[in-house]
Amino acid sequence: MKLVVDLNKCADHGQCVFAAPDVFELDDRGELSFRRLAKDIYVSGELDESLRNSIEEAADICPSQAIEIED
Amino acid sequence: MKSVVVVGASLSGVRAADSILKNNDDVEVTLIGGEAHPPYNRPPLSKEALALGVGLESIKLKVPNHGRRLSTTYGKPVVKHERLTKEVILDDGTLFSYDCLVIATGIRPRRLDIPRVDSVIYPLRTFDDMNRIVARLTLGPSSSKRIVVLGAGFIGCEVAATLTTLGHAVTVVAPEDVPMQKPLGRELGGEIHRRHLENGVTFMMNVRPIAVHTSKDQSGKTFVDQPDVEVILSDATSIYCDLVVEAVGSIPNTSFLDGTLFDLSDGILVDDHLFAGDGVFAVGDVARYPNLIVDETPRRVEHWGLAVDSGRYVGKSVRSYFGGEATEAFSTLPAFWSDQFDIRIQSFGLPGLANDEAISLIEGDVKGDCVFGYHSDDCLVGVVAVGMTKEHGRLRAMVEDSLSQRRDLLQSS
Repeated sequence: MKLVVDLNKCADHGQCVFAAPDVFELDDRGELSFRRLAKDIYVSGELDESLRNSIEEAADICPSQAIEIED
Repeated sequence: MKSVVVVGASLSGVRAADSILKNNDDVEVTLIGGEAHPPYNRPPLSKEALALGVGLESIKLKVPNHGRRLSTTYGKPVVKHERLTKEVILDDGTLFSYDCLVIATGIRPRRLDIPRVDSVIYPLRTFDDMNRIVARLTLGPSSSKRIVVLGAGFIGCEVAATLTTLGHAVTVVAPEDVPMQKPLGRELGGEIHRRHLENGVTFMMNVRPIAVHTSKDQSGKTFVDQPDVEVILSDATSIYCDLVVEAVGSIPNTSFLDGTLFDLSDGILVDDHLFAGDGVFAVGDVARYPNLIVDETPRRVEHWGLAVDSGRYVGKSVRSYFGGEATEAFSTLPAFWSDQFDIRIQSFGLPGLANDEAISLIEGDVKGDCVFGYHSDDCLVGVVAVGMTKEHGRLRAMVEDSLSQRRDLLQSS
């Protein structure tokens, strides 16, 4: 399972941080920390299956619908 | 195999279908949408999608893949519900039987009952509505249009900000003193008003529109493409414009339930498991339910986040209806956001419970980033932050704590 975030869609609302605090983080400027790792699309490495429920919740609750899970 | 029908294929309906299938093995779901399009996300319709005139692809809601257990039908609204025989009927006569029905039909824009020329007045709820506005904005020689927005709620203010940024001349008309007065209160509403003015939006507050005419009416001439529109206000002045956007609130879509003896006084009333009776559940904007994180009073709350949360919840409630494991009552912290120009508004809790005198600035500077607190029964029941993104986690926890204390108080009294 990989996490894919469309950083052009993402508007840094930060709702994902509440749903999946182990995965998502806002930096000191209030921006999604993945912005430091990628420009347009962030793709994670292989993630542990135990994170699936919380990432699914983050994907569901993202106002910009910028989060997807790739299997 | 049990059959569940979800009526309404927008955010809450899609989340409901997914959660029903995830929580119930021996169930198949039919998701029925009245709009011709597959499910899409509505918030961008008043913001970036309106600004960019984007296609459906970029705002599409992903419908999770459940193989043959999920079937979808789009473009035909449900027009009738047979409570006793457990059936719903589409406008083309197609009939679906169910063991369990989830109502997620949402809301539609309220239309003003005034003398009006409908062809120049644009509501904004659907993708098609947005496209009609985009098409009208690009019609004719001038790239800058004069637009009157009726209503200074969130949709009206977002549309005003988006269209002003595009270079149009926007006038907002509303009966209150300040924009978003009811949800945000007079002081914060006043500050957002000031920021909108600074960005070039014109406001006509404390007036109501009493008629919308076009020059075609008066002269008999036909300006079908570009009529000059006259909005007559209650103070006897007029505003002339190219088009009117109507954003004056909403009406829950329950007419297909008429005669079913459900409580339809404001949306459809359900219990704290989102259950209405006889195998019927409701989620999202159309549902009036108690949210136990707040209290036991049923309310209809039009928040995007609650449409998600109630949809995600209902699968468990359906599971216990089918004889499975019982589930706890619905209890989730309400939250909403709005983006207008560079103003980011984020709320946690239910600020709408507070009267104007129970609203106060609790952090920051009203002219910059700040937080307003909303109180009821002397407890904080909600906050609205302007900016302050980094503080959202703390603010959210603060409201949760306070709501929990308020629940204890209400229970002991």
